[in-house]
Amino acid sequence: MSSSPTRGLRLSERVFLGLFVAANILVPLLLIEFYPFTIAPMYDTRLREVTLYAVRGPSGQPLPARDFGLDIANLGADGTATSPFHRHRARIPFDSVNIVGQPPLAPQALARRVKQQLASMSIPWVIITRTTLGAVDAERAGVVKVEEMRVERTP
Amino acid sequence: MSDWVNRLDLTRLSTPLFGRVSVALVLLMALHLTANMPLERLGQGISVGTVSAAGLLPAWLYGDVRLLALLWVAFVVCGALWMGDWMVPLSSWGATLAFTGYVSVYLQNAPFWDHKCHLLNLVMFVQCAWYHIYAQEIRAARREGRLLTTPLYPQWAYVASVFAICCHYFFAGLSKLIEGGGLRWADGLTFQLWILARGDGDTWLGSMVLAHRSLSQVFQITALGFELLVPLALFWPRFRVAVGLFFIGFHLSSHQIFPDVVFTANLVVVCLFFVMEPALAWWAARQARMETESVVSPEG
Repeated sequence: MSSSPTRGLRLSERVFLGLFVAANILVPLLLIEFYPFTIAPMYDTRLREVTLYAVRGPSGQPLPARDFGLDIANLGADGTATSPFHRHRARIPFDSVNIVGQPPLAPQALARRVKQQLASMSIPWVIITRTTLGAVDAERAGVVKVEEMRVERTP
Repeated sequence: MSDWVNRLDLTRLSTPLFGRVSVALVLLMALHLTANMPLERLGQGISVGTVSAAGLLPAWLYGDVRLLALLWVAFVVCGALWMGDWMVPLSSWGATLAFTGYVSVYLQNAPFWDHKCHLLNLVMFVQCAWYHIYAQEIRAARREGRLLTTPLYPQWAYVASVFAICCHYFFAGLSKLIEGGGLRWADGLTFQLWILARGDGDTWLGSMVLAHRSLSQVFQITALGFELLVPLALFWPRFRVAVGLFFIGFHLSSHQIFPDVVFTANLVVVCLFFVMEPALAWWAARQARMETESVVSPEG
Protein backbone atom coordinates (compact mmCIF):
# COMPACT_ATOMS: atom_id res chain seq x y z
CA MET A 1 0.00 0.00 0.00
CA SER A 2 2.79 2.48 -0.85
CA SER A 3 1.62 5.92 -1.98
CA SER A 4 2.67 8.39 -4.64
CA PRO A 5 3.00 12.17 -4.25
CA THR A 6 -0.13 14.32 -4.48
CA ARG A 7 -1.54 15.13 -7.95
CA GLY A 8 -4.67 16.75 -9.31
CA LEU A 9 -7.88 14.90 -10.12
CA ARG A 10 -8.46 14.18 -13.80
CA LEU A 11 -11.57 15.57 -15.46
CA SER A 12 -13.03 12.05 -15.82
CA GLU A 13 -12.48 11.46 -12.09
CA ARG A 14 -14.22 14.72 -11.21
CA VAL A 15 -17.16 13.93 -13.51
CA PHE A 16 -17.60 10.43 -12.11
CA LEU A 17 -17.37 11.57 -8.48
CA GLY A 18 -19.83 14.41 -9.08
CA LEU A 19 -22.38 12.14 -10.74
CA PHE A 20 -21.91 9.34 -8.22
CA VAL A 21 -22.35 11.60 -5.19
CA ALA A 22 -25.37 13.38 -6.70
CA ALA A 23 -27.09 10.12 -7.70
CA ASN A 24 -26.50 8.50 -4.30
CA ILE A 25 -28.15 11.44 -2.54
CA LEU A 26 -30.86 12.51 -4.98
CA VAL A 27 -32.22 9.27 -6.44
CA PRO A 28 -33.23 7.67 -3.09
CA LEU A 29 -34.78 10.94 -1.89
CA LEU A 30 -36.74 11.58 -5.09
CA LEU A 31 -37.56 8.09 -6.35
CA ILE A 32 -37.28 6.02 -3.13
CA GLU A 33 -36.34 2.92 -5.11
CA PHE A 34 -34.60 2.80 -8.44
CA TYR A 35 -32.04 0.02 -8.53
CA PRO A 36 -29.22 0.17 -7.49
CA PHE A 37 -30.31 3.23 -5.50
CA THR A 38 -32.66 2.86 -2.56
CA ILE A 39 -33.77 4.67 0.57
CA ALA A 40 -33.22 1.28 2.27
CA PRO A 41 -36.62 0.88 3.95
CA MET A 42 -35.71 -2.34 5.79
CA TYR A 43 -37.75 -2.64 9.02
CA ASP A 44 -38.84 1.00 8.86
CA THR A 45 -42.51 0.39 9.76
CA ARG A 46 -43.44 1.11 13.38
CA LEU A 47 -45.61 -1.76 14.58
CA ARG A 48 -48.27 -1.57 17.31
CA GLU A 49 -50.09 -4.77 16.36
CA VAL A 50 -49.80 -7.51 13.75
CA THR A 51 -52.88 -9.42 12.64
CA LEU A 52 -52.81 -13.03 11.45
CA TYR A 53 -55.81 -14.78 9.90
CA ALA A 54 -56.64 -18.47 9.66
CA VAL A 55 -59.57 -19.71 7.55
CA ARG A 56 -61.41 -23.04 7.94
CA GLY A 57 -64.13 -24.54 5.77
CA PRO A 58 -67.35 -26.34 6.89
CA SER A 59 -65.58 -29.65 7.56
CA GLY A 60 -62.83 -27.89 9.51
CA GLN A 61 -60.34 -28.06 6.67
CA PRO A 62 -57.84 -25.17 6.61
CA LEU A 63 -58.13 -22.88 3.56
CA PRO A 64 -55.41 -20.49 2.35
CA ALA A 65 -55.94 -17.03 3.91
CA ARG A 66 -54.33 -15.67 0.73
CA ASP A 67 -57.39 -16.79 -1.31
CA PHE A 68 -59.52 -14.46 0.81
CA GLY A 69 -57.06 -11.54 0.64
CA LEU A 70 -56.30 -11.90 4.37
CA ASP A 71 -52.71 -13.10 4.30
CA ILE A 72 -50.15 -10.39 4.92
CA ALA A 73 -48.97 -9.15 1.53
CA ASN A 74 -46.21 -6.88 2.79
CA LEU A 75 -44.64 -9.12 5.40
CA GLY A 76 -41.17 -8.51 4.14
CA ALA A 77 -38.39 -7.15 6.26
CA ASP A 78 -38.71 -3.97 4.25
CA GLY A 79 -41.09 -1.13 4.82
CA THR A 80 -43.88 0.28 2.76
CA ALA A 81 -42.45 3.56 1.54
CA THR A 82 -44.01 5.25 -1.44
CA SER A 83 -42.82 8.24 -3.40
CA PRO A 84 -44.77 10.88 -5.29
CA PHE A 85 -43.62 9.20 -8.51
CA HIS A 86 -44.32 5.52 -8.15
CA ARG A 87 -45.16 2.72 -5.77
CA HIS A 88 -42.26 1.31 -3.82
CA ARG A 89 -42.61 -2.15 -5.22
CA ALA A 90 -42.65 -3.51 -8.75
CA ARG A 91 -45.11 -6.28 -7.91
CA ILE A 92 -47.19 -7.35 -4.94
CA PRO A 93 -47.78 -11.09 -4.43
CA PHE A 94 -51.58 -10.74 -4.17
CA ASP A 95 -54.24 -8.21 -3.29
CA SER A 96 -54.77 -8.08 0.48
CA VAL A 97 -56.55 -6.08 3.17
CA ASN A 98 -54.04 -7.22 5.80
CA ILE A 99 -51.35 -4.58 5.61
CA VAL A 100 -48.64 -4.56 8.28
CA GLY A 101 -48.57 -1.19 10.00
CA GLN A 102 -52.23 -0.44 9.31
CA PRO A 103 -55.14 -1.07 11.77
CA PRO A 104 -57.10 -4.30 11.17
CA LEU A 105 -60.47 -4.25 9.41
CA ALA A 106 -63.64 -3.72 11.44
CA PRO A 107 -65.74 -6.96 11.73
CA GLN A 108 -68.39 -5.74 9.24
CA ALA A 109 -65.79 -4.77 6.66
CA LEU A 110 -64.01 -8.08 7.17
CA ALA A 111 -67.27 -10.01 6.67
CA ARG A 112 -67.99 -8.01 3.49
CA ARG A 113 -64.55 -8.82 2.14
CA VAL A 114 -64.87 -12.55 2.85
CA LYS A 115 -68.40 -12.65 1.37
CA GLN A 116 -67.03 -11.14 -1.85
CA GLN A 117 -64.48 -13.93 -2.11
CA LEU A 118 -67.01 -16.62 -1.14
CA ALA A 119 -69.31 -15.50 -3.96
CA SER A 120 -66.97 -17.10 -6.48
CA MET A 121 -66.45 -20.28 -4.43
CA SER A 122 -68.57 -23.37 -3.82
CA ILE A 123 -68.14 -23.20 -0.03
CA PRO A 124 -71.31 -22.26 1.96
CA TRP A 125 -69.54 -20.75 4.92
CA VAL A 126 -66.11 -20.33 6.55
CA ILE A 127 -64.78 -19.71 10.04
CA ILE A 128 -62.28 -16.86 10.24
CA THR A 129 -59.89 -16.81 13.20
CA ARG A 130 -58.16 -13.48 13.75
CA THR A 131 -55.10 -13.53 16.03
CA THR A 132 -53.72 -10.17 17.11
CA LEU A 133 -50.08 -9.91 18.20
CA GLY A 134 -49.11 -6.94 20.35
CA ALA A 135 -47.89 -5.84 23.77
CA VAL A 136 -48.88 -8.44 26.38
CA ASP A 137 -47.60 -6.27 29.24
CA ALA A 138 -44.93 -3.62 29.82
CA GLU A 139 -42.12 -6.02 28.87
CA ARG A 140 -43.38 -8.83 26.66
CA ALA A 141 -45.01 -9.14 23.24
CA GLY A 142 -47.25 -11.99 22.13
CA VAL A 143 -50.86 -12.95 21.40
CA VAL A 144 -53.21 -10.31 22.82
CA LYS A 145 -56.50 -11.26 21.21
CA VAL A 146 -58.11 -14.19 19.36
CA GLU A 147 -61.48 -13.65 17.63
CA GLU A 148 -63.59 -16.07 15.62
CA MET A 149 -66.21 -15.17 13.06
CA ARG A 150 -68.51 -17.28 10.87
CA VAL A 151 -69.16 -15.78 7.46
CA GLU A 152 -71.80 -17.26 5.15
CA ARG A 153 -72.02 -16.97 1.41
CA THR A 154 -74.82 -14.68 0.32
CA PRO A 155 -77.32 -16.70 -1.75
CA MET B 1 -15.62 22.74 3.24
CA SER B 2 -12.37 22.38 1.28
CA ASP B 3 -10.62 21.35 4.51
CA TRP B 4 -13.06 18.48 4.87
CA VAL B 5 -12.54 17.45 1.25
CA ASN B 6 -8.75 17.71 1.69
CA ARG B 7 -8.98 15.36 4.65
CA LEU B 8 -10.31 12.72 2.27
CA ASP B 9 -7.02 12.82 0.33
CA LEU B 10 -8.84 11.93 -2.90
CA THR B 11 -5.83 12.35 -5.18
CA ARG B 12 -3.51 9.88 -3.43
CA LEU B 13 -2.54 6.77 -5.38
CA SER B 14 -1.69 3.46 -3.68
CA THR B 15 -0.50 0.12 -4.95
CA PRO B 16 -3.61 -1.77 -5.99
CA LEU B 17 -3.49 -4.82 -3.70
CA PHE B 18 -6.60 -3.78 -1.76
CA GLY B 19 -8.34 -2.59 -4.94
CA ARG B 20 -7.77 -5.88 -6.72
CA VAL B 21 -8.76 -7.98 -3.69
CA SER B 22 -11.95 -5.93 -3.35
CA VAL B 23 -12.79 -6.36 -7.06
CA ALA B 24 -12.33 -10.14 -6.74
CA LEU B 25 -14.45 -10.38 -3.59
CA VAL B 26 -17.21 -8.16 -4.98
CA LEU B 27 -17.37 -10.24 -8.18
CA LEU B 28 -17.41 -13.53 -6.26
CA MET B 29 -20.13 -12.19 -3.97
CA ALA B 30 -22.16 -11.08 -6.99
CA LEU B 31 -21.74 -14.52 -8.52
CA HIS B 32 -22.91 -16.12 -5.27
CA LEU B 33 -25.98 -13.85 -5.10
CA THR B 34 -27.03 -14.33 -8.71
CA ALA B 35 -26.52 -18.09 -8.50
CA ASN B 36 -28.76 -18.32 -5.42
CA MET B 37 -31.67 -16.06 -6.30
CA PRO B 38 -35.08 -17.72 -5.99
CA LEU B 39 -36.42 -17.53 -9.54
CA GLU B 40 -39.48 -19.76 -9.17
CA ARG B 41 -41.87 -16.96 -8.10
CA LEU B 42 -40.82 -14.40 -10.70
CA GLY B 43 -43.65 -12.92 -12.73
CA GLN B 44 -46.32 -13.90 -10.18
CA GLY B 45 -48.53 -11.39 -8.40
CA ILE B 46 -49.82 -8.00 -9.46
CA SER B 47 -47.75 -5.36 -11.24
CA VAL B 48 -47.83 -2.03 -9.36
CA GLY B 49 -44.77 0.02 -10.21
CA THR B 50 -41.23 0.50 -11.41
CA VAL B 51 -38.22 -0.18 -9.21
CA SER B 52 -35.44 -0.41 -11.77
CA ALA B 53 -34.46 0.61 -15.28
CA ALA B 54 -35.79 -2.77 -16.44
CA GLY B 55 -39.28 -1.49 -15.68
CA LEU B 56 -38.86 1.07 -18.44
CA LEU B 57 -38.56 -1.74 -21.00
CA PRO B 58 -41.66 -3.33 -22.55
CA ALA B 59 -43.19 -5.93 -20.19
CA TRP B 60 -42.77 -8.72 -22.77
CA LEU B 61 -39.02 -8.09 -22.71
CA TYR B 62 -38.27 -7.74 -19.00
CA GLY B 63 -40.76 -10.50 -18.24
CA ASP B 64 -38.86 -13.01 -20.37
CA VAL B 65 -36.67 -15.07 -18.03
CA ARG B 66 -34.35 -15.90 -20.95
CA LEU B 67 -33.11 -12.35 -20.58
CA LEU B 68 -31.92 -13.27 -17.08
CA ALA B 69 -29.99 -16.26 -18.43
CA LEU B 70 -28.36 -14.10 -21.10
CA LEU B 71 -27.33 -11.43 -18.60
CA TRP B 72 -25.99 -14.04 -16.18
CA VAL B 73 -23.77 -15.62 -18.84
CA ALA B 74 -22.53 -12.17 -19.86
CA PHE B 75 -21.75 -11.36 -16.23
CA VAL B 76 -19.85 -14.61 -15.63
CA VAL B 77 -17.76 -14.26 -18.80
CA CYS B 78 -16.98 -10.56 -18.33
CA GLY B 79 -16.41 -11.00 -14.58
CA ALA B 80 -13.85 -13.77 -15.20
CA LEU B 81 -12.03 -11.54 -17.72
CA TRP B 82 -12.12 -8.59 -15.32
CA MET B 83 -10.71 -10.66 -12.46
CA GLY B 84 -7.76 -11.54 -14.66
CA ASP B 85 -7.39 -7.89 -15.77
CA TRP B 86 -8.02 -8.94 -19.35
CA MET B 87 -9.77 -6.67 -21.86
CA VAL B 88 -10.27 -3.84 -19.36
CA PRO B 89 -12.25 -1.60 -19.31
CA LEU B 90 -14.54 -3.54 -21.69
CA SER B 91 -14.71 -6.53 -19.33
CA SER B 92 -15.32 -4.34 -16.25
CA TRP B 93 -18.16 -2.49 -17.99
CA GLY B 94 -19.57 -5.77 -19.32
CA ALA B 95 -19.60 -7.38 -15.86
CA THR B 96 -21.00 -4.30 -14.10
CA LEU B 97 -23.76 -3.65 -16.62
CA ALA B 98 -24.68 -7.34 -16.89
CA PHE B 99 -24.92 -7.68 -13.09
CA THR B 100 -26.93 -4.44 -12.84
CA GLY B 101 -29.19 -5.63 -15.65
CA TYR B 102 -29.65 -9.06 -14.09
CA VAL B 103 -30.72 -7.70 -10.68
CA SER B 104 -32.85 -4.98 -12.32
CA VAL B 105 -34.81 -7.56 -14.33
CA TYR B 106 -35.04 -9.84 -11.30
CA LEU B 107 -36.40 -7.10 -9.01
CA GLN B 108 -38.85 -5.88 -11.64
CA ASN B 109 -40.31 -9.41 -11.84
CA ALA B 110 -40.19 -10.34 -8.15
CA PRO B 111 -43.41 -10.17 -6.09
CA PHE B 112 -41.35 -9.60 -2.92
CA TRP B 113 -38.83 -7.12 -1.57
CA ASP B 114 -35.13 -7.56 -1.86
CA HIS B 115 -32.32 -5.15 -0.98
CA LYS B 116 -29.41 -7.56 -0.91
CA CYS B 117 -27.56 -6.44 -4.03
CA HIS B 118 -27.85 -2.63 -3.99
CA LEU B 119 -24.73 -1.78 -2.00
CA LEU B 120 -22.58 -4.39 -3.73
CA ASN B 121 -23.66 -3.04 -7.13
CA LEU B 122 -22.78 0.56 -6.21
CA VAL B 123 -19.31 -0.51 -5.07
CA MET B 124 -18.95 -2.46 -8.32
CA PHE B 125 -19.74 0.73 -10.26
CA VAL B 126 -16.93 2.55 -8.41
CA GLN B 127 -14.48 -0.24 -9.18
CA CYS B 128 -15.58 -0.19 -12.81
CA ALA B 129 -15.00 3.59 -12.97
CA TRP B 130 -11.51 3.07 -11.51
CA TYR B 131 -10.69 0.47 -14.19
CA HIS B 132 -12.16 2.70 -16.90
CA ILE B 133 -10.20 5.80 -15.94
CA TYR B 134 -6.93 3.93 -15.28
CA ALA B 135 -7.30 1.33 -18.07
CA GLN B 136 -4.20 2.42 -19.94
CA GLU B 137 -1.97 2.40 -16.86
CA ILE B 138 -3.40 -0.92 -15.65
CA ARG B 139 -2.82 -2.56 -19.05
CA ALA B 140 0.73 -1.24 -19.24
CA ALA B 141 1.58 -2.32 -15.69
CA ARG B 142 0.12 -5.76 -16.35
CA ARG B 143 2.18 -6.14 -19.56
CA GLU B 144 5.35 -5.22 -17.71
CA GLY B 145 4.58 -7.42 -14.71
CA ARG B 146 4.50 -4.54 -12.20
CA LEU B 147 0.78 -4.37 -11.53
CA LEU B 148 1.02 -4.94 -7.78
CA THR B 149 3.97 -2.60 -7.25
CA THR B 150 2.74 0.44 -9.22
CA PRO B 151 0.59 3.07 -7.43
CA LEU B 152 -2.62 2.70 -9.44
CA TYR B 153 -5.43 2.60 -6.87
CA PRO B 154 -6.84 6.10 -6.40
CA GLN B 155 -8.02 7.07 -2.93
CA TRP B 156 -11.23 8.49 -4.45
CA ALA B 157 -12.27 4.94 -5.41
CA TYR B 158 -12.02 3.92 -1.76
CA VAL B 159 -13.72 7.11 -0.52
CA ALA B 160 -16.57 6.80 -3.07
CA SER B 161 -17.21 3.22 -1.89
CA VAL B 162 -17.25 4.38 1.75
CA PHE B 163 -19.60 7.19 0.72
CA ALA B 164 -22.02 4.70 -0.89
CA ILE B 165 -21.99 2.59 2.28
CA CYS B 166 -22.61 5.68 4.43
CA CYS B 167 -25.53 6.76 2.21
CA HIS B 168 -27.07 3.28 2.28
CA TYR B 169 -27.10 2.99 6.07
CA PHE B 170 -27.92 6.66 6.66
CA PHE B 171 -30.98 6.39 4.41
CA ALA B 172 -31.98 3.21 6.28
CA GLY B 173 -32.01 5.31 9.46
CA LEU B 174 -33.74 8.23 7.77
CA SER B 175 -36.54 6.03 6.36
CA LYS B 176 -37.19 4.73 9.89
CA LEU B 177 -37.61 8.31 11.06
CA ILE B 178 -39.86 9.23 8.12
CA GLU B 179 -41.99 6.06 7.91
CA GLY B 180 -41.75 4.95 11.52
CA GLY B 181 -43.00 8.14 13.17
CA GLY B 182 -39.68 9.72 14.17
CA LEU B 183 -37.86 8.58 17.30
CA ARG B 184 -41.03 6.75 18.42
CA TRP B 185 -39.95 4.01 15.99
CA ALA B 186 -37.42 2.92 18.64
CA ASP B 187 -40.11 1.91 21.14
CA GLY B 188 -38.98 -1.70 21.65
CA LEU B 189 -42.38 -3.15 20.74
CA THR B 190 -41.75 -2.72 17.01
CA PHE B 191 -38.67 -4.98 17.08
CA GLN B 192 -40.50 -7.55 19.22
CA LEU B 193 -43.39 -7.68 16.76
CA TRP B 194 -41.05 -7.95 13.77
CA ILE B 195 -39.54 -10.99 15.47
CA LEU B 196 -42.97 -12.55 16.16
CA ALA B 197 -44.22 -11.87 12.64
CA ARG B 198 -41.12 -12.51 10.59
CA GLY B 199 -38.28 -13.87 12.71
CA ASP B 200 -37.39 -16.76 14.95
CA GLY B 201 -38.40 -16.08 18.55
CA ASP B 202 -37.02 -19.44 19.69
CA THR B 203 -33.39 -18.43 19.25
CA TRP B 204 -31.46 -17.36 22.34
CA LEU B 205 -31.32 -13.73 21.25
CA GLY B 206 -34.87 -13.70 19.89
CA SER B 207 -36.38 -15.05 23.11
CA MET B 208 -34.37 -12.54 25.20
CA VAL B 209 -35.67 -9.64 23.12
CA LEU B 210 -39.25 -10.95 23.20
CA ALA B 211 -39.12 -11.16 27.02
CA HIS B 212 -37.56 -7.74 27.66
CA ARG B 213 -38.91 -4.63 25.94
CA SER B 214 -36.14 -2.47 27.40
CA LEU B 215 -33.52 -4.73 25.77
CA SER B 216 -35.44 -4.55 22.51
CA GLN B 217 -35.47 -0.76 22.80
CA VAL B 218 -31.70 -0.67 23.39
CA PHE B 219 -31.21 -2.66 20.16
CA GLN B 220 -33.47 -0.30 18.22
CA ILE B 221 -31.90 2.89 19.61
CA THR B 222 -28.37 1.59 18.99
CA ALA B 223 -29.15 0.55 15.41
CA LEU B 224 -30.88 3.84 14.63
CA GLY B 225 -28.06 5.83 16.25
CA PHE B 226 -25.30 4.12 14.25
CA GLU B 227 -27.30 4.45 11.03
CA LEU B 228 -27.85 8.17 11.51
CA LEU B 229 -24.25 8.83 12.61
CA VAL B 230 -22.61 6.74 9.87
CA PRO B 231 -21.81 9.78 7.61
CA LEU B 232 -19.19 10.79 10.21
CA ALA B 233 -17.30 7.61 9.27
CA LEU B 234 -16.45 9.24 5.95
CA PHE B 235 -14.14 11.71 7.69
CA TRP B 236 -12.99 9.84 10.82
CA PRO B 237 -11.20 6.55 10.07
CA ARG B 238 -11.27 5.36 13.70
CA PHE B 239 -15.02 5.88 13.90
CA ARG B 240 -15.25 4.05 10.54
CA VAL B 241 -13.72 0.94 12.10
CA ALA B 242 -16.05 1.18 15.12
CA VAL B 243 -19.09 1.55 12.84
CA GLY B 244 -17.84 -1.31 10.67
CA LEU B 245 -17.53 -3.63 13.65
CA PHE B 246 -20.99 -2.57 14.84
CA PHE B 247 -22.60 -3.29 11.46
CA ILE B 248 -20.86 -6.68 11.27
CA GLY B 249 -22.34 -7.58 14.67
CA PHE B 250 -25.68 -6.08 13.61
CA HIS B 251 -25.88 -8.24 10.47
CA LEU B 252 -24.73 -11.39 12.25
CA SER B 253 -27.27 -11.00 15.06
CA SER B 254 -30.01 -10.09 12.53
CA HIS B 255 -29.19 -13.28 10.69
CA GLN B 256 -29.69 -15.27 13.89
CA ILE B 257 -33.11 -13.73 14.57
CA PHE B 258 -34.27 -13.43 10.94
CA PRO B 259 -32.78 -16.49 9.19
CA ASP B 260 -34.55 -15.65 5.91
CA VAL B 261 -33.07 -12.16 5.73
CA VAL B 262 -29.39 -12.55 4.98
CA PHE B 263 -27.41 -9.47 3.97
CA THR B 264 -24.17 -11.33 3.21
CA ALA B 265 -23.16 -8.88 0.49
CA ASN B 266 -23.49 -5.90 2.85
CA LEU B 267 -21.47 -7.80 5.43
CA VAL B 268 -18.66 -8.41 2.92
CA VAL B 269 -18.67 -4.81 1.68
CA VAL B 270 -18.60 -3.38 5.23
CA CYS B 271 -15.80 -5.80 6.21
CA LEU B 272 -13.77 -4.78 3.17
CA PHE B 273 -14.10 -1.00 3.32
CA PHE B 274 -14.68 -0.28 7.01
CA VAL B 275 -12.38 -2.84 8.59
CA MET B 276 -9.97 -4.52 6.15
CA GLU B 277 -8.74 -1.39 4.33
CA PRO B 278 -8.10 0.58 7.57
CA ALA B 279 -6.30 -2.48 8.96
CA LEU B 280 -4.11 -2.73 5.83
CA ALA B 281 -3.43 1.02 5.94
CA TRP B 282 -2.43 0.77 9.61
CA TRP B 283 -0.13 -2.16 8.82
CA ALA B 284 1.46 -0.30 5.88
CA ALA B 285 2.02 2.81 8.02
CA ARG B 286 3.63 0.66 10.71
CA GLN B 287 5.95 -0.97 8.16
CA ALA B 288 6.92 2.44 6.80
CA ARG B 289 7.60 3.74 10.31
CA MET B 290 9.79 0.75 11.11
CA GLU B 291 11.74 1.20 7.89
CA THR B 292 12.29 4.88 8.69
CA GLU B 293 13.47 4.05 12.19
CA SER B 294 15.93 1.46 10.88
CA VAL B 295 17.35 4.03 8.43
CA VAL B 296 17.73 6.68 11.17
CA SER B 297 19.52 4.26 13.52
CA PRO B 298 21.15 1.64 11.24
CA GLU B 299 23.27 0.23 14.08
CA GLY B 300 20.26 -0.39 16.24
